[in-house]
Order: sequence, then C-alpha cells, then structure tokens
Amino acid sequence: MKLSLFRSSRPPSEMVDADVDVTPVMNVFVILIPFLVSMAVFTHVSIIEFSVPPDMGQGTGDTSGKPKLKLTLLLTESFLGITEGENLLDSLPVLDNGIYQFDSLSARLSVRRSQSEFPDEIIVASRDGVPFKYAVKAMDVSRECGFSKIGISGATADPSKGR
Amino acid sequence: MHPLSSRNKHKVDGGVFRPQITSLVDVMTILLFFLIKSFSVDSTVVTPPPNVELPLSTSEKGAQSRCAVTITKEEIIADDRVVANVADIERSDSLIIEPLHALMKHILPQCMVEESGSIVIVCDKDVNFAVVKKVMSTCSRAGISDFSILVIREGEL
Repeated sequence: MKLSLFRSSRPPSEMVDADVDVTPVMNVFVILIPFLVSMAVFTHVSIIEFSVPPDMGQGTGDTSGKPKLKLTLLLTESFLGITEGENLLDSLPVLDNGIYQFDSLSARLSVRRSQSEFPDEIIVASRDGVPFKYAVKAMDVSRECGFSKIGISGATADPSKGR
Repeated sequence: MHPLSSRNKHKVDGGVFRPQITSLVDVMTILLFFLIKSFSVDSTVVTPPPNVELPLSTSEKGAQSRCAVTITKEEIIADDRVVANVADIERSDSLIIEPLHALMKHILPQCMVEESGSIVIVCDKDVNFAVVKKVMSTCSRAGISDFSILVIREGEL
C-alpha cells in the first residue's frame, strides 16, 4: 500500500542524481552580496531631543515672576552634582582614573526626583571643559531615572561673570 | 576504498571537474537574507561624516531628516560649508559664532519642521562642551528652537 502520493515508485537502485546547474544563481549572488555589503548598516544611529534654556531661545517662556527651581545635574571636571537652585543636594567626585560615577548618580537622582516639585523636568548643566560624551551620558541617566523633559545648559565656574 | 567514492563528492565527468557547491550556496543564501534584513530595517537619513566619532547613548528615537550642524574635532560644518574652526571658537569669549549665525539665518526656511526651526547636532564625542554650547546658542539666536543630538545606539556597535 502506498503511504504517500508523492513517493517515488522507483526502487532506490534506479534513482539517478539530478545535476542542477547553480551557476546563474552563483552569478547573481556574487553580484548581489558585494552590493548589499556596501549598503549594509552595521551601526544604528538615533537622536536625543532636548530643549535649551528660555534666555538662550526665543524668549517664549513665561517671564513673569520668579522662575521655578528645577533639579539641575551639574557636570564639572572634578565632580557630578545635583542642585536645586543654588543648593547643592548631592555630589559625586570624579574617580582618580577620570571616571564619572554615573551608576551611583542614577540612584541618587531617583531619590531627588521623588522629592522634587517637578519630577519630570531636569536641566543638565555642563562646564565648558567637560567632553560632550559625558553630557550625553548624563542625559541618558536622567532619562532612565524617569525625567521626560531634559534641558541642556552651560554651567558657569564663576557666577559673577554671568556665563 | 576509492578516493572519490563516498567522502569526496567532487565528480569528474569526462575530464570536467565539477565541485560540490551546495554548502557554498547555503552560506550565500544565509548571508543574502542577513544583508537584505540589515539593508531594509534602518532608514537613516542623517549620515555622520567619517571623521566624527559619535557619542554612545541608550536613546532609541530614530533619526529624522533635519538640517545638520556638524562639529568635528577641528571644524564646524553647516550646509556642507566649513564655517568655523573649533580651536578659534574655544579661544573666543563670544557666545555667538558670527559666520554660523549668518548662515543659519540664511538657511532657516529650509530647517523649518512644523513651523519651528529644527536642527540635529552631529558632534564628535570628545569635543568640549563649550563649543557645543556656543553652537546651540548661535543657532538659537538665528531662530532654531528644536534641537537634537545624533548618537550611536549603545550595544549596536
């Protein structure tokens, strides 16, 4: 009894090897693969959106009354700080090998966020000499802590100079 | 045992050497699917120049087509033109980069996205923040209000 309609009725000894000519397929591959390799994307880029302080922008912010104090993440060459207005709430010194303690910062930022009047907003303020990659890392840490509105600003070393 | 019997599948038909290329076709097919996938998934519209090493980030927001201001270790480039030298900008006391300001005012209509000026800053990761601050300040003064930074998605390198 036949088990399948597609089973060959020939005994195995009579089966012949079918020689499929794959040369055209190989030709296509040889052309297509170098083309695709040249066009392939091996690194994926993305963007970080942020806002600039109102005085740097078009002046669209509410200028009436005193500005509300928001949490500020301060980046300097020697420490990371969390401030609210002029009050320094937390600080983490840069380690001897020049590494910023972003892991510890994350925990402290979460605590300060829960106590803040504006739990969604933070300003990342960096000193002039800090490399840009640390400002990006600070924005990442802020976003991971739950801040959805991140502003970026310069931090002055000498407040009397105004910038 | 004959050398061409079971282990060696190469066939010789009337003097023509016919290699077994099934495994090669298998590799090529897998490679083709991988390349087609990586080709079609990412539709990046902002291409970073080769001399810019972008910072890493965990951000997953996809890049969009916007006006770009590029900051390399040596130069500031906007609209495919070198507008300033980074070393000069670092030495300068002014927050405004005049050539960039003039250029951005000129190309502002091209940078409008939903009625607001919008740019993406393509900056090398080791450039000092002072330069980025001056670029942002200048663009903001020229009428740009929406800023974004181009980064490399962490873990994708």
